[in-house]
Amino acid sequence: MLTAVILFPLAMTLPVFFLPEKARKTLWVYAIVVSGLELLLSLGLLGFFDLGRAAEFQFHGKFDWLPAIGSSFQVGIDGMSLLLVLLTTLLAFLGFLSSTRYIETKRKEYIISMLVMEAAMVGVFSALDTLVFFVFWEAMLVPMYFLIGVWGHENRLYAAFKFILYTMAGSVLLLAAIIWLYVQFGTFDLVALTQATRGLPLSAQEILFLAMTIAFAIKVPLFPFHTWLPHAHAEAPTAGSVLLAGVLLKMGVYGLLRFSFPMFPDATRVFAPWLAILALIGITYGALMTWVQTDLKRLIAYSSVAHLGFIVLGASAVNQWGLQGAMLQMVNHGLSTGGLFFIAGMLYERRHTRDLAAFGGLAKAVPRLSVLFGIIMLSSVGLPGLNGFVGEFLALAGAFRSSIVWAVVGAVGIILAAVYLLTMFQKVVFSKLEKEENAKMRDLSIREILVLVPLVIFIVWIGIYPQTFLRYTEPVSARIVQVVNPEKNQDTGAIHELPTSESGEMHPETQEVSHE
Amino acid sequence: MSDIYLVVPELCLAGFALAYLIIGLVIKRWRWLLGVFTLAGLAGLFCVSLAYLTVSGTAFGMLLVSPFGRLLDLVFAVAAIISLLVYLDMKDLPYEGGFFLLTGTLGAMLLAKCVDFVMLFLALETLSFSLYAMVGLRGTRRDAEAGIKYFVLGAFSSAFLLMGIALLYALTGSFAFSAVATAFALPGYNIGLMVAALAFVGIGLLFKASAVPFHFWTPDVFEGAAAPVAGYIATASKVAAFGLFLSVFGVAFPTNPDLWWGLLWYASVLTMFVGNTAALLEKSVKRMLAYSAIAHAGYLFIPVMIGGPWSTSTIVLYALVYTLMTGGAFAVVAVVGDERSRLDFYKGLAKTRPLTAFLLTVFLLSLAGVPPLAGFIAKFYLFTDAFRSGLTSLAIIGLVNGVISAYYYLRVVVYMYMMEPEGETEVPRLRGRLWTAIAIAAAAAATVYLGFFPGPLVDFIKGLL
Repeated sequence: MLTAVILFPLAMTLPVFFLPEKARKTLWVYAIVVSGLELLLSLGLLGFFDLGRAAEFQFHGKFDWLPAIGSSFQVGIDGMSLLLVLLTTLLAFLGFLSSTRYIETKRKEYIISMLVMEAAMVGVFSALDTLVFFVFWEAMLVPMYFLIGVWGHENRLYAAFKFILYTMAGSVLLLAAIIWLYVQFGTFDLVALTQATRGLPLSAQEILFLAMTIAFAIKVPLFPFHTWLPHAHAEAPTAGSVLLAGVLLKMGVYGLLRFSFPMFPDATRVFAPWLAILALIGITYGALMTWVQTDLKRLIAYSSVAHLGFIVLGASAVNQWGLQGAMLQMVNHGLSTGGLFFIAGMLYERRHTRDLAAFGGLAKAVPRLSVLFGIIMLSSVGLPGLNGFVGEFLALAGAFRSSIVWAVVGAVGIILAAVYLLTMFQKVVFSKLEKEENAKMRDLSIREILVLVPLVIFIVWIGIYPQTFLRYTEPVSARIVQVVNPEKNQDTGAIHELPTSESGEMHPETQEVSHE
Repeated sequence: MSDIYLVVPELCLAGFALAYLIIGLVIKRWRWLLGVFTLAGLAGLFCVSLAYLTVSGTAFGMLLVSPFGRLLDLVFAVAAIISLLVYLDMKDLPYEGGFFLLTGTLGAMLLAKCVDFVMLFLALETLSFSLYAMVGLRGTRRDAEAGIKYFVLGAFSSAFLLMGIALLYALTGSFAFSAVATAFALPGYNIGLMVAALAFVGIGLLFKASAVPFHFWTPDVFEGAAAPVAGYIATASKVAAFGLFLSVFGVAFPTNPDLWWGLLWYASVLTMFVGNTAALLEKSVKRMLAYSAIAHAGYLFIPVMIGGPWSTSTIVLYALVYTLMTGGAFAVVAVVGDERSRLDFYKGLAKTRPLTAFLLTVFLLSLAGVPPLAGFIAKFYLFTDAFRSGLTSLAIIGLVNGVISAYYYLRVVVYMYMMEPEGETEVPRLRGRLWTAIAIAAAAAATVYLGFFPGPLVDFIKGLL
């Protein structure tokens, strides 16, 4: 079934070749239906997912691929992967829904690129064979490269090149590590490898950890590997930005949590503080850079650097709260930053500019857009009651367990986030309505509301009842903690201690899930 | 008698080439029949080689016939078929080209199998002279210039090779590769002369493989030659050179690797880096592909250094995949036009000729080693072997070079997809060039198929070697 979810979008690219480019409506209806079906398929995964075994890989599928060297097409998902797969299919669906007015040229190629990318992204999150993982990881680059380069804004060629070369450079290290592991252990099987690599001596672990982690850090992107991101995000078309921010960056963190940490626990203990420090630099630097941006999409892009800093900070605390926060925040960031990029795209469609100074007073002109914009923006700020708060709180709480300094610096980052996002919002939405064009701006169409509302639903849902989602990630993070920091598993305590102090309601029946 | 049985495919091809010449004299009107005739011959060669795949032995003490050699023959046949199909659509090319294509393939087949220096020289010259003629065949100024350049430099390198062979003969009293190995194994050989002989032979061979620093002829010759001819030089000739390397270094110098290991290591690294950096600066697609061919020669040195059964299967796999993608890319260049190989002519090709642009993109991405295309699988095997054999530094250098190369391959994609065409395009439609279209489509399909499902082919090759 999981295999079907991966291959369905790929197979559905074939009919697109035979559809006429002129048939605008047919093409879009086709794309939306296909991605909608894909979303339903992935919801089917959710339905059949056995929550009691959320730490194990389910929907296991295995097909011979390269029998000569023992690599097979092997897939399966645990709780963390499941959420990310759902995020991917949701954002891809909404991406298509948002593109019907935006993409005016080469629609067929656009739809094919998006579908190929969707398949590759789902593949990355479900591959259980290191070589297959790498294939998906790389295969995703090319369609993204086209999305940026063909349908992007003015400076798209530079951005596309920088994106693909940067990521490929990182991939080389990943591939080298994968081949090295294969030569050493004779297998590409992720589960078997994760067992085997723990026995490696520290020096070998350190080298492999660094090789893989640099590859993932480029994708995250962790400071100082972030320089490709503002260009790529700002120049990509709306759906491209959404998938970049919403899903691609998560692949970096996913790699850390799936490969680097559980495979090399000894090295993780050595390097986790360094990761945390880079994350903190990223949080602060990203926030300061965001503050001074005048371009709406670049602003959101830099804010991603800061937000991903929180995720890595939580992850590198390697305790239950930090990891839970990181995993939840991955989803949160996909929803809220994805939402912000959708809105930036809608504003761009109306005004053909991304300059903050060109807007102002939108609250009067386009109230519906402003309200949804406000909610998503506040979720990104981390307002209590919305999703961002839960994730960032957990991540910071986890960091606090490791070091008070980390938590304090991180908390300053949250304040900065409030400053830059509220400044931006104030400039765009609340300042005086001076410009003629803004006054005549049309409000959201039904289609656009349909794009944003699902995001808002999830933003509020996670904000007030995060347990629905935490249930899926909790066993996974417990397992990582178990591997990396067995002693910390004791003192950190379980997640259900949390809500009494903060986000209020949490179901009592979920309490026995923890501590496995 | 049994020796003759071993070389039946070679004999068939030689006979076929002669028959082609005679028929060519007779048939004056329906020239296209000759094309079909050649095609049938090459297809026949493919089948005969396939039938003789498992036959092995040493023929006349000069040719080591083995499944490895026969597998390379299949690669040569594929390279020749791709070139021929493209050739058929180029009206300005005379029919003698078909003959030289056949004899060139014969030379390549012999070259990859020889274990004797006389045979080596003969095979090499059979191949080279066919190529010289093919390059200059159209008789235009550019052709002639490229042909003369290729010939002069080729003759120069042949002189080096001959000098080396003469020295080796003086030292060992035999032309057999194995005699050199025996001489090395004995104590008290004349090390100075031996090294000199090795150096001369090495220079001659490195020239043929267009390895740095003997690569300077490649871009000029490729630019002047018709695209299918350039494609044939880049694929068949290069693969033959590496088949030869494997037997030279496997049979002639097996006992004393220190002498040539260092040489090969530097040749590999230099060839990769120089090929890739020079390609970065090229503004002509043909010249860029020439440098890309040089860079790929650098990768192919790695299995030669490793030796053993792993390396033979890796070389076969890499050679086949490389032939498909490079041959395909040159076929597209032929469609766009030999005279229009500057990057500017590729601007906006995706808009005017979407299918052509798409197929070229497949080849370029595969050359860049992007999964899940065949180029990735081939590179993956190659670098896995390198890691396994302890050539870690070389493997990492190779992987880094893969990233460098991505830049110039993708630049062509940028021109095709992300820039607007300038004025009306003069690029002919694929539809009007049926043979070329078949070649390109088949090569692209194979590139994609082998990327997704490499298992059967890899098993097949590994099962034989």
